Amino acid sequence: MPEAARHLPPTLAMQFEDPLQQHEASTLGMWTFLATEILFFGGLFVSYTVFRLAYPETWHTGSHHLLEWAGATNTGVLLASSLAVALAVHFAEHQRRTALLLSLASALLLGFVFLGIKGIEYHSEYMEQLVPGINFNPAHDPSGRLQLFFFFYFVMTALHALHMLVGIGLLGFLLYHAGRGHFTVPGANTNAVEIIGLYWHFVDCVWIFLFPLLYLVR
Amino acid sequence: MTQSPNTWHSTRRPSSGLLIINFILLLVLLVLTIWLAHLDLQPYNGLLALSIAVLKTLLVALIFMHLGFSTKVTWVFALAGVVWLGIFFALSLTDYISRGWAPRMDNISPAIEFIPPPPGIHSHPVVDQSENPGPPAHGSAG
Repeated sequence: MPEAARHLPPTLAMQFEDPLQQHEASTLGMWTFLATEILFFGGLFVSYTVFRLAYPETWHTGSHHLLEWAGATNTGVLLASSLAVALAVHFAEHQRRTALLLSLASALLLGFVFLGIKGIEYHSEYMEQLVPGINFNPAHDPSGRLQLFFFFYFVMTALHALHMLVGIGLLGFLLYHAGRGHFTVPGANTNAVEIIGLYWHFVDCVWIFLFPLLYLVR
Repeated sequence: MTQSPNTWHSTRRPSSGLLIINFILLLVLLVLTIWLAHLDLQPYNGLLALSIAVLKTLLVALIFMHLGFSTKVTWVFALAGVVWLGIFFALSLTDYISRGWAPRMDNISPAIEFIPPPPGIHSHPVVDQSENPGPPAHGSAG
């Protein structure tokens, strides 16, 4: 057995026949996790839809309280970060260490820009007394339904921001290993870059839906 | 691209040029969705915005997430979540809409109101109580 083990590439886990099988398994594992994530966010999207159908005017009013420029900018920021992550996968597979480091660092930076803009928005909404449970001012809407819109807004965006934080941590992990050349030595295992990339793109897709559903209700 | 320098994946990959074109397409769709939101196209504004979101997600999934370059079994795994989300939406919304809550279905005022019970059910509470001492059943009794 040690004889055979010596011929294996160092990054091939022992339960796999070859790198192709390991790559397929890790990709399928990540897609399975993402399917559970779709349903995790799905509960919020379904209840959002039920109440939007019930209170269309309230959703319209609530949407106009949000900063549309911030939501639009953040969509662009996330799309750019997705491009950076997709390029990182490309550069890792082509063993270009500097380009990999630059694209990972850009994606990380854009992730922080997104959270910064989100923070500006939350601050603005706090100052306008729109935060349910903390300082929501009933004068905005005597019927009390506007609070429901802002409940959905804060829960959905905060859950998304939590996923962004996890993604930023994972990008930091990749940056650390990329800096040490772990993905760019000949024969290196780049699956980690790819599956963390899948996660990052998924979080981007969630925002692609949150932007029109929250900011562009007409 | 024909051959990638390392052997950790079996299938073709999008070229860096395709990734950048995809990003530009996504930005065009973003500008389009904002522009459409400022036009009065009722009742199609929401539908258009959602269609563009679906299109953007497809671009991200097919190219950035390599789904367009993946094996069939990866497609099955990726579609599983979407299919179950579809079931979740379809069954939940048929329930809520059939209760008459959704104002677009019947043009009632946009408020959630329970449909009043048919006459006779709560009109004689004393008789009901004597015949059925348990709590009033909501919906079907298990």
